[in-house]
Amino acid sequence: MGAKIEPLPPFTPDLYQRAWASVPHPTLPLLATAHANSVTVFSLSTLSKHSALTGGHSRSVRTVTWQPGLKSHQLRLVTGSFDASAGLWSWNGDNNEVTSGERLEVDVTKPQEGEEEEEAKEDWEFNLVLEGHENEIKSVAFSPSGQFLATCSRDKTVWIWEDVGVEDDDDEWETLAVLNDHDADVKAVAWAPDVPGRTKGARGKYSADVLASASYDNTVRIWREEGEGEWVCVACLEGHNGTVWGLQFESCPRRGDKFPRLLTWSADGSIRIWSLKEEPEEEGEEADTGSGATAGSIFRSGLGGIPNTMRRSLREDWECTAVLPKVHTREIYSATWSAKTGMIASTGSDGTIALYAEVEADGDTEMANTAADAETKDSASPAWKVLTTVPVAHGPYEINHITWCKRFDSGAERKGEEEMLVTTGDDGVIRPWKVTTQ
Amino acid sequence: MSAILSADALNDFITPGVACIKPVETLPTAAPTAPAESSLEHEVILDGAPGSQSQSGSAAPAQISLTDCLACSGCVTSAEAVLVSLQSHNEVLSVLDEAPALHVVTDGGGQVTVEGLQNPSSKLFVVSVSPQTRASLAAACGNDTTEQQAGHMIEQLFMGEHGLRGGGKHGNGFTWVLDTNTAREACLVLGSDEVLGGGMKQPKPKDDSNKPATPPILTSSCPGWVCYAEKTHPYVLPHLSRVKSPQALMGTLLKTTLSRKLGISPERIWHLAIMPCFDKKLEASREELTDAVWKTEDGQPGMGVRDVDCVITTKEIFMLVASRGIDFFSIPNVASPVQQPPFPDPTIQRFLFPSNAKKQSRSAGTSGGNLHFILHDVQSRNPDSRIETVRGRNADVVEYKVVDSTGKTVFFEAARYYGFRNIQNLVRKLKPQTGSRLPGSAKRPAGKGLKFKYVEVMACPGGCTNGGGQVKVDDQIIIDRKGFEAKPGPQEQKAWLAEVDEAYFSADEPESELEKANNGGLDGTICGISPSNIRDTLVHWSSITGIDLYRLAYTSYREVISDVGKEITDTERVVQIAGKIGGGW
Repeated sequence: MGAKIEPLPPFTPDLYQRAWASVPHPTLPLLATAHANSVTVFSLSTLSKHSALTGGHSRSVRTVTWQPGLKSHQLRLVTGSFDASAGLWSWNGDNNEVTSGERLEVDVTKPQEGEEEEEAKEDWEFNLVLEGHENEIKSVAFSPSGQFLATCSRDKTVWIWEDVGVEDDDDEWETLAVLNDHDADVKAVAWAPDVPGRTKGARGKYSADVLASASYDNTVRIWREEGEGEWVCVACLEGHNGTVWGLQFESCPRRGDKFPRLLTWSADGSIRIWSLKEEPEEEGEEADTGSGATAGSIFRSGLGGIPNTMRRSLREDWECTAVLPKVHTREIYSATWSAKTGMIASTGSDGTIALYAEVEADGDTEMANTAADAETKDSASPAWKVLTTVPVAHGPYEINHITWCKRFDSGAERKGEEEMLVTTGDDGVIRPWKVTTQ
Repeated sequence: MSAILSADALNDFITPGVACIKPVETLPTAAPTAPAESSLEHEVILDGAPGSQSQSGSAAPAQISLTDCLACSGCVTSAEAVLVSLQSHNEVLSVLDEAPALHVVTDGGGQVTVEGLQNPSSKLFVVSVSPQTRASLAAACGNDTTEQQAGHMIEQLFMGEHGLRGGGKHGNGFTWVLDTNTAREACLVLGSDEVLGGGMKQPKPKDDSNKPATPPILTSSCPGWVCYAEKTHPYVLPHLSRVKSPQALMGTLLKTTLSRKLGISPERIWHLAIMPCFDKKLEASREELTDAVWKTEDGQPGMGVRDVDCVITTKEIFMLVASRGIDFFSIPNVASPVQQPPFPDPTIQRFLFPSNAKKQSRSAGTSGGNLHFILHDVQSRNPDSRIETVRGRNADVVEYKVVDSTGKTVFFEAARYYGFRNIQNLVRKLKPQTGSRLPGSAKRPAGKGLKFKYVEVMACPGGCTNGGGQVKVDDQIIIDRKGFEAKPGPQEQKAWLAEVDEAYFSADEPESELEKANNGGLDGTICGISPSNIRDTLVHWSSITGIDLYRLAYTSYREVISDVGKEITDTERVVQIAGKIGGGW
């Protein structure tokens, strides 16, 4: 099985500034790109600029995310900046053009006569500043329901925030947790998606949301909420030999409702996949935990099991179950795992795009997909193979971000379903790529 | 915030960064052309390090003493940690070894004199111990050791023949071993008067420099919180209680009364404090807590002799005894046979050595019980009232209301906010509303403001028994003693903290008796404390020292102005980024 990656016309206009990340809206045909001190929102229907978020931050905006779970007329973005603050922004226009998915009649880069006034009113409003981090914020992410916002920073902490003014339609955000366990700059945060397997491992002890963070200290940490607002680190994933630049949970539901796997990518040039070791439920209690938990397996890795004296006895075990074949020659800044097809794409300092697919252990070159035909073999971890690569995809420039993105443009055969890749580079050009597999 | 600061966690090398806030005017005018090693440009003269001389011949290097370094973010954090780590068990031992100690002798007529003054290096040694330290050590001992027994062990260690006196160059020990609980009682009364008024006329500074605290008044006895507020949220400084912390008050009390009554200079008194956290070391080095503030007789301002010379943490007790080859757990847990000499003033003596050690009820918490006392003070001023408690969004946020018997009239509202994440929410609500300063028309939500008149703020979740310097369940000593097979995890930590709290509250009287004492005895006591006695003692203290009560018992705070993050030129920015670990990317 092979694949082809072909460039589509880049998003217009060129940004002429280093661009850091492009994030598609979960449902609408919009793409938000962080570059320099601002964010440009592109329309995925026209592949051109829709609007911009300006002002608000005094330093580089490195990260941006859409707030999920809002009412249909609402559009909200959160920006994270090197100025140590995060910003909440709302779109005050109506979304009809956007939601209909139709091609925008008006090219917003050239305001029409007589419509200027109306367009001037439609804009992004800077609602709220979230302050507290000591220095540069590296990443922001919402939990799947939109209830929690996670931010992380060079100050080695991960913060979890919640909007407590939701009922009053007010913006009142509170800090729920300040997580200190990392030893260095935290580069990225990601939440487990709302798939059936997500509650595995909660064992009635934790709430449903699971957060993961990646750091300059070469580790990834998993966090869960244990009763009443107490967020604790339940696992520390060691294995990378360099900064872990980012991470993403698998978005398609797994066979057997297993907990979503975690994809991590690193400055050490490797991309790893980690799986939660799930202990079978045991009757009775292993040890007197005092917590009344029926599954004593919480402490298997700690007291009862083979003690790992090298690290704290945390509460769950993750292991690295796959390392993707090496393609990149330099640091990997970004990777993306498709929710539809299960393919992974990666990119980084070497400017190469690489595409990988999962291979079933029995050697058949099938793509792992959600509708399972093949039997799962718990013991064999599936391998991955490289489908194709695109070198120097942005010329001599580093590529900072890559993401799967649904196509809504006129060239798409199945709008809203077909997926393309979008890369964001130091050249300030946002490039979409058509992906075809045979 | 350095709330959980630990000397173990040093892993960056130390350079005062380019963005150190120490005023630039102390730097040599000619900057070196090549980027010299920071050690040449910013020489750090370390307090207490004997004989550290600056580079001879070159221009005066910038000196950063611990007094200047107040945990700003300009310096790499571990530099602060290193400076703090100089107040260590090693310093205790080296000071003990400097010269034979001064002795206090009482003659038949009750006259107290000091012997040994001919040696200019001789000092009078005093140590004050926090209750959290005793609780932590009691839990470490196990076997149902009570806090009182742990207190005896500490007395034996510092005063007894087989403790520190048994070794060292001069066989020096400490003359007095004090309990900071006594000073704490004064702080509670003063703190309550500050919030509720009445009691005594509120002392004022001579000039208007330090205005009284405005509501909501925030507890200021936690140095982690105070340093963080001064550094990051100076707009809360007007709300911080001006009353000194128990450690600070004890320091001033000892230095002023002993120096006055014994006729010796405060430099000759060496005051050690044993505390549950490292941030207390920062507090001890505050400029505001030296004799420069209170010593003004014969026209000479004080030399800056600290009220508390050295702070060590509970954990460091074990290092101290290990250096001397003493096994802490073998020290007998009964009162030391060596008597403490009487304090040179009978009123202060009664204050520092009360005949019955009063315990607090559990509702007071383990951080001094400031809020608890105030609530009960309000209750005592409003007959037939009661206290209602509402748990906040997590275990470290609790709201309190004192209401009348019907529950309709609210006399007083207060809250407890422990832990950094909750402090975030608190300071956010206190932040003054500024107009939008950014072109993106950021509008701040209308601040609902705080309904509380008082908030007890502590940096450590769970209170001071969970301080950064306390013995932890994963310390090797505890692992050995408890016989853990594997590294203790969060469950064991929780159980351990409960043990420490249990030791902290362990009392002879049942909890119900203590609860009753809270609501005021017929003798006008609140929580077992007699405010009138306290006030009388304070007045007496002021009169025997000739220093006004304001300078004795109150303190001030200052904003730490930092250049970090402010507008700087491109060159400065490049230098700054080059100096940062990780390159800022």
